[in-house]
Amino acid sequence: MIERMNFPLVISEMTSTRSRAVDGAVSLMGEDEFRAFYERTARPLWSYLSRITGDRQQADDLLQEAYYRFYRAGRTHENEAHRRNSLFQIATNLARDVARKEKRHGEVQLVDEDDSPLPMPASAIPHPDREVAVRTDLSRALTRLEPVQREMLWLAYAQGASHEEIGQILGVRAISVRTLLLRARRKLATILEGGAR
Amino acid sequence: MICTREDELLDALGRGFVGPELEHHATVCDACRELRSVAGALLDERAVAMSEAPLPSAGTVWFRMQMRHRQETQDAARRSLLVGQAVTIAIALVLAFAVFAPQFVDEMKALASVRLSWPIVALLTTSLLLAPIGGWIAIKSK
Repeated sequence: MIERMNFPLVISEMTSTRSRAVDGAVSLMGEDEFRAFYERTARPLWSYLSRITGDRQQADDLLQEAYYRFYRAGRTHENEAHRRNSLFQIATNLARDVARKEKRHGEVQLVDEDDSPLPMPASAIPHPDREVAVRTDLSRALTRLEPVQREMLWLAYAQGASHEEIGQILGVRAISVRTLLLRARRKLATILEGGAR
Repeated sequence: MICTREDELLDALGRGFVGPELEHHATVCDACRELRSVAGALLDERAVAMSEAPLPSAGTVWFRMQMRHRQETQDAARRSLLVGQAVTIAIALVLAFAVFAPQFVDEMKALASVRLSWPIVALLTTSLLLAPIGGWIAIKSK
């Protein structure tokens, strides 16, 4: 397992990151500040978007849109963690909007039917294809979850976000996150076990 | 189903090394087994996603953002200008009406007394409807 990137930032990064005023009353980020922020957040954000949408192309588009909206909002943030959470929140809302529009226009939905068969059990596939099979299992399993469950599980376990941060990003009360997260975890575990058995 | 060692296990999974004692615990504890299965799979998936992310450079994204921001700012300014012009014209028309209307009271009374026949009304209505459509077609063809 590859070492994961810590989501909550270290104390040295928790300093105030107020942006300089560029455009009248709205305080926008400067270029150097943006570049540094982008380098720190783009990969985790793309990973998040590609896995919650299940579409790499869409993740590319959403990533750029999210950064633009974040930039345009021009908010000042208390610290780096708050700033990062705001970006993820914008990205989440954009992904939800796209999913809603696709659903309205009758395009292919991400959520599979519950009775669709999972791929061949991972244990039955010889190495090195097994790793790919496990990933396929996870990708398929994720599509069986509710969007908010996918988002929550990814933030909690892949990103290492705290319950408070998840609540802020997803617009859920922090106190509810624990219960919802356990439910989502149970569901994913059941699906994964079903696929690997 | 919650175990007090879940945070410890999650940290170990994040570091990429689960000690033998914790490993054994994860095999006998339902909550930790479930956590290991889910978090382990998601962490692996994240590692793959992080490595395969096809990201544009920060400079490219910044440049696109600036272009778009400039365009939106110009559009907003243009809209404000149009609204300002419309308000100015409306005020000018009201003022003109207020100043000149009393001088044309007799003419307006005469105009109101004209009895319009159906062909004239139809002609006027058709002209009023066709004029903007014609204008739109002319602009579009350019």
